[in-house]
Amino acid sequence: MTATAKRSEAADGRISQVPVVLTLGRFEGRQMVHHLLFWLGVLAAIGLSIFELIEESPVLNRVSMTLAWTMAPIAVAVAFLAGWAVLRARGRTDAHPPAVMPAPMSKRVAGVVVGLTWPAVATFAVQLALLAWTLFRDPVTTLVWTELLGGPALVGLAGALSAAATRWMPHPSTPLVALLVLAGIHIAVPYSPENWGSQIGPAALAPIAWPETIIPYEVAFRPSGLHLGYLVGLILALAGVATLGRAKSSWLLIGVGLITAGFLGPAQLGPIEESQRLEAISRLVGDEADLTCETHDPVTYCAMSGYAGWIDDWTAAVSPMVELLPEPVEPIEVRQYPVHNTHLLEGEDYNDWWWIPPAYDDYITRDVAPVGSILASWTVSYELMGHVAAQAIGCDQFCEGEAQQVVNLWLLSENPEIAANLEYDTGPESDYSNVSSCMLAELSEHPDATSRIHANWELLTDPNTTYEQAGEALRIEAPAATEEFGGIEGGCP
Amino acid sequence: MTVTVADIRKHYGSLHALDGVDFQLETGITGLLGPNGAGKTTLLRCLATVLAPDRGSIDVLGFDPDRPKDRTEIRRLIGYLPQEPGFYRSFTCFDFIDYLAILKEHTERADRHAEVRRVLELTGLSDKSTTKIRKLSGGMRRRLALAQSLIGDPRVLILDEPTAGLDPELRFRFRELVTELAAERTVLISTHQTEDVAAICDRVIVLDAGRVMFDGTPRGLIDLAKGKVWLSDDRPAGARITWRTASGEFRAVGEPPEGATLIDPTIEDGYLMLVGAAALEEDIQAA
Repeated sequence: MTATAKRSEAADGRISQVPVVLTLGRFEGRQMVHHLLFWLGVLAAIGLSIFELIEESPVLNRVSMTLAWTMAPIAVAVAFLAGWAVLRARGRTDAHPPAVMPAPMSKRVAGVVVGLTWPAVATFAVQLALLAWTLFRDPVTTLVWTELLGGPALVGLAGALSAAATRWMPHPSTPLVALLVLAGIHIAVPYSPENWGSQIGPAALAPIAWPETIIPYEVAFRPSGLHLGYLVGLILALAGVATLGRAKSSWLLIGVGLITAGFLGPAQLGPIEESQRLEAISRLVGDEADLTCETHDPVTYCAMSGYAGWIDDWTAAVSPMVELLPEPVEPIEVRQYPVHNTHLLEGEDYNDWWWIPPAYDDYITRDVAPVGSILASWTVSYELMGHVAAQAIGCDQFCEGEAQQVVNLWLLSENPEIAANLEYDTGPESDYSNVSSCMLAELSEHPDATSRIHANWELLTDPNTTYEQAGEALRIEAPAATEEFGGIEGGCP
Repeated sequence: MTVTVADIRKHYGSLHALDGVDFQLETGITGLLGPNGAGKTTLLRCLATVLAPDRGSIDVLGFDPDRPKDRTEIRRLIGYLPQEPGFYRSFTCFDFIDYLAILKEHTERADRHAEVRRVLELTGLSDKSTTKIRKLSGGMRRRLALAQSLIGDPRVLILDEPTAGLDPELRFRFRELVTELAAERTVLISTHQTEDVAAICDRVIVLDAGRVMFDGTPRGLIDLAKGKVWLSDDRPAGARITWRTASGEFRAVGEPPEGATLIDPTIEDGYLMLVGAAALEEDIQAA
């Protein structure tokens, strides 16, 4: 202490034009984003986002959705921080310093609610950083800002809920209880008896996916704008509950929030017109009738305009295999389009399935490149190469001829990852007999395998050519398949 | 008058915490003494607008705490150090004062931060501004609590046991600070430290069982024990309280026997004469 207790100049300028709530909001926001718990939430969100996205070639509208729900760890952290801040702002006892300051409790809590803007903005910054990382990874389609903003809204909602709950039930564990209730609703709603959950589905944290348009995921119609507005309505209403006091503004917030949420909640549950869905597809990935085609002889790749950036990747995946084909090669076309049906059985809807309906695979048909799939995975290369190989061999969607299967596998095994996973498609339950893979294994031991196949191309691509005939032509032995097994029991001889 | 208290009463069930208290305060330092449970903290809480008395009236700087707008105005103009202020352990000293400064409506960032630095400097905590409160000693926390009461240079300071937990050096510095502040302000200090009252207070009020037992100068309180304090070689019978001094003699307060060696009383002796030995023992234990 010094002996000089000079009068503060600040004391005279105490009453300023800046509202206390805004100043408090800045203080509380700064406290929240500087807290260790917040940064743990950020690290968890970044880790979760990378885990979800690293395996996929980025599809921006899909990335927009992912980067919304992966911000949930930040929302959890902020819920705790907001609840604890409200607990502090209430003042633990009557004699607690905040209780004897001019700013009343409602303003002190309002400061916490306003302060939620800071972690929400910080969350958006985290999303932008992750988005920047994504942009370096050859993304396709279109970013959906209303989906992305679901992340900051989620943070605001969790914080406002926790603040409102703690204001009226002041206890350190209140934020946890509030989060558990919210999570319980989120998890329980899809499994509610008599499907009542679909009526309050918007209570879920993430933007909802429309049941009738779940496949393909990224071109499903999602009323994310309405959902975002609905979340904002909930945040306003909760903010009003948290800040109830003598001021009328809290009641105004509650009113506006409830009206907004009450209007937009049912609106986002309304029936979807086919035209809306097609418009969404057109907006997100391009018009089906307006494909972008590029020819890399002999293959012409036609992508929906949003996916045009992937044609080079498709070419890179397929070209090494195409080079194995004997000249001249007939023109081959790979055309992309979304499937318009969900393949759900009658009476089923999305809520009956935890992840995706079993008919998911059905949407890939001949000469269709999967829309927005995980291109980084070898299985997608396999599917693309499979479409091209089938056309080159002259198969109708699936190579049923025995010799055709051997040639098909030979082409596909150009890709080392596919070669290493041939059992994936030659087991007892597969489309191919393992006789094919055994013949391929024997053939690959001969350095002139390519010339042997080229020399017998017409014969081998004939659907009626048998394993035995193919073996004679290729000068290898065709192992006999057991009738019962449909292949060679116990592996190649 | 800066503070007027007129016949205020406050009951907690059957307990009369305040039972008709009257006084007025002007510029200067007033010490509030009294045994535990005398109603000191209740009185200060009423003045700080934390509690409303059941009856009677209070006027602080012309404002009536019964009216909400006046109550807010009083909170703007006073500084209050609670007996047990809550701390936010994860806050730094700067953040703690900054937060309370915002609550006191200091919303201009630069001015507010200057004010925070000022009160931290006044309480000798400048070098601790970035230290988390959980790392502070008890004495430092007390200084931090005192710092928050000084935000905005309040015209009335209400301090509930401000020197509890402070080491002797800090207590002397506190005296220095408060006496300077009191040149232009009204300071009301509730304390068990009678020597602090003797050292810095212009006036002393003794409260017991919710009533004002004494209201006057420290000299007046001391005079209550004039001719009632003596030294004796043996423990005297009939004294209100006796203790052995460092010289080996017994110091006694009460009605002296004939021929006793009277000595000059202290303010503690006067207080003892007023409230009784039991109360003094309680206070000694509390201190």
